[in-house]
Amino acid sequence: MRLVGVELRRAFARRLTKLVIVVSIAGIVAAGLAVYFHSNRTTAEISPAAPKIEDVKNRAIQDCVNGGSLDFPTPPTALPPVGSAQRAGACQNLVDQLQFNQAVDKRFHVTQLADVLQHVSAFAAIIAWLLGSSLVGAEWRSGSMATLLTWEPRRIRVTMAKAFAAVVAAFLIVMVLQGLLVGALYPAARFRGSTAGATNEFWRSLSYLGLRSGGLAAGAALIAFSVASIGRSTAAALGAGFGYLALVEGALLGALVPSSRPWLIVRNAVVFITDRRGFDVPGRSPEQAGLLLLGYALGFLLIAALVNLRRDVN
Amino acid sequence: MAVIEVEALHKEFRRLRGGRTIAVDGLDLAVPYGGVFGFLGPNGAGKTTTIRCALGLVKPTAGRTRVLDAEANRLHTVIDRIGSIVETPTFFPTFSGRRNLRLLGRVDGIGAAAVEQVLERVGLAERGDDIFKNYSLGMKQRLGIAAALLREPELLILDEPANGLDPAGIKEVRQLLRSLADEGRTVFLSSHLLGEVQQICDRVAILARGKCIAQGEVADVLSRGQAARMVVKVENIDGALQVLTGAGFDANVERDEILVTAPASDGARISRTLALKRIYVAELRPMEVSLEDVFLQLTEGGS
Ligand SMILES: Nc1ncnc2c1ncn2[C@@H]1O[C@H](COP(=O)(O)OP(=O)(O)OP(=O)(O)O)[C@@H](O)[C@H]1O
Ligand SMILES: [Mg+2]
Repeated sequence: MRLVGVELRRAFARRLTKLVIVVSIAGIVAAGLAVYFHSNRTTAEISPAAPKIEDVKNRAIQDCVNGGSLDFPTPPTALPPVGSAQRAGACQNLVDQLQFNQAVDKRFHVTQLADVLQHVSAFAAIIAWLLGSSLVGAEWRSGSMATLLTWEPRRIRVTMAKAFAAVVAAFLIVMVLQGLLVGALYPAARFRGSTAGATNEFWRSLSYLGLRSGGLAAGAALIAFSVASIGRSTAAALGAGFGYLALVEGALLGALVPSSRPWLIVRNAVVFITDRRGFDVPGRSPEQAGLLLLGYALGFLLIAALVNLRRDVN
Repeated sequence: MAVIEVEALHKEFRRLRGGRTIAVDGLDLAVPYGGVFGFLGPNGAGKTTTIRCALGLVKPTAGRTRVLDAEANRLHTVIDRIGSIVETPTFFPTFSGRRNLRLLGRVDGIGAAAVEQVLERVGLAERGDDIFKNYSLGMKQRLGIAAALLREPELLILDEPANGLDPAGIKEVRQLLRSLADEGRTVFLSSHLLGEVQQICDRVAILARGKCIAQGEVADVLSRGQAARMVVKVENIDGALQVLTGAGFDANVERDEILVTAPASDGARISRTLALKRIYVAELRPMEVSLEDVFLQLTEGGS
């Protein structure tokens, strides 16, 4: 449909979109250079550290076997009880996962890319929220929405075309930026760090993580778009978004109504990205969390489309 | 058949703290095909609201509108035959005028050549690459007219298109609208400057407080005022007044002029009557009736 094409062009021609892309690329280049030069340790510097890594690891395993409190990303309940025969093996596994060598070995490991993408995903979602809400908020503010509606009066079509443009723009931008980020960091691992663990399996799971990040950004853009459509302003969507996530989810529901936790946006987003099945929503897979978030986003869009169907446009 | 039909249109806006504003109050309107139709009324009369209803931007509280035989909910079937401006045209502020038009055109598969043509026609071709935000009010208005022309519409609905234009611009727009009408399009033009549109309109409707108080051909609406009068200027006003009333004329003094209720064809008789008494006419002319006068009379009578 031509309207969709027009909205996509409009989305990419916007100043904010260009600004986000330019600033992000500058940040990525800076990060690539910083990591490249920071990851400058000779093997001579590392080898004396090797025994130390073993020491730290052994101490951590011993601590775990004795039931010490671990602030590790695996729920303590998932381990066999203290004193049981399986405890030592489980502790060994747990500590192995923690990549202690990276704590001592300051070189950049290619496997750290997964961590990087996980952290970047929150940032990407915020950017997507901003893009999605301002895409439609700016049009209501400037009044150009009214002009468009005198050109295409079918409001559902207009809303859907714009929503589609917001989603596609957010997804594409986040995917490309992640690609650039991986590309910018890879030389640090390849030439001045370590590429150990860069198996096909690793790259496959990294790609899947990147895809989920792109999906999260698309969802954030869609919800922000819908809220901004209902409030007819960018500021409304930004305020409502941060107010809701921080106050309602963070403080009220999350803390006071534990039974609401499996349905909260932030917790599901964390599960969706990190795949930490134990913590935020026990037993929920990233795919389930993603479906739930998709449902929310479509729900918001539906409400936005219906609300704008009959309202006066000035 | 009418291009725009408005039947018993009623629109109320709720105010924030209770109360309502009645913007349009049972309006009936029939705009025939062809020519320039003036939709006139003072500020707040409800012109823009009526246009918004007709274009589907605002939902009437009661009543209905039909444009090119399409009900409001079927507007999309005829929208590509309508070009419109509602209040001050609004476009995407950080895009150039040209890009704004190209984006709109693209929705309909209208190419860049057509965009250049309309920019040329409204005199914006040279400033087409400036961003919309930086346009002067008159340039925004011109871009709005350009957008309205982009689809080569058979009906133009223009809400105060001359707003913000300089005298030369107003004249240009007037000529443009006239030429559009001469091409066979219908131009529906709203304005609060009644004198402004009197010259180019074939028909007018006068709106006050949401109601239509006069509608028809310009000449008919004008003659709805009082009977024709002649303005007489002389040195000896009192003497002249006596002579004229003595001769059976209905005359009275207003400031330093005498107003005689008589058609322009009585000019010779007036001048002869006065000359016979050695009173010589310094100025003798028919009093011009403007839509403004008619409007003031009609609204004064109504309130
Ligand atoms: N969105 C709105 N909310 C509340 N009141 C409104 C709204 N739009 C218009 N009105 C009111 O409706 C009345 C008619 O306004 P409208 O804009 O139709 O007048 P107009 O004839 O176009 O005037 P102007 O010549 O100044 O453009 C005014 O009293 C106005 O305050
Ligand atoms: Mg108006």
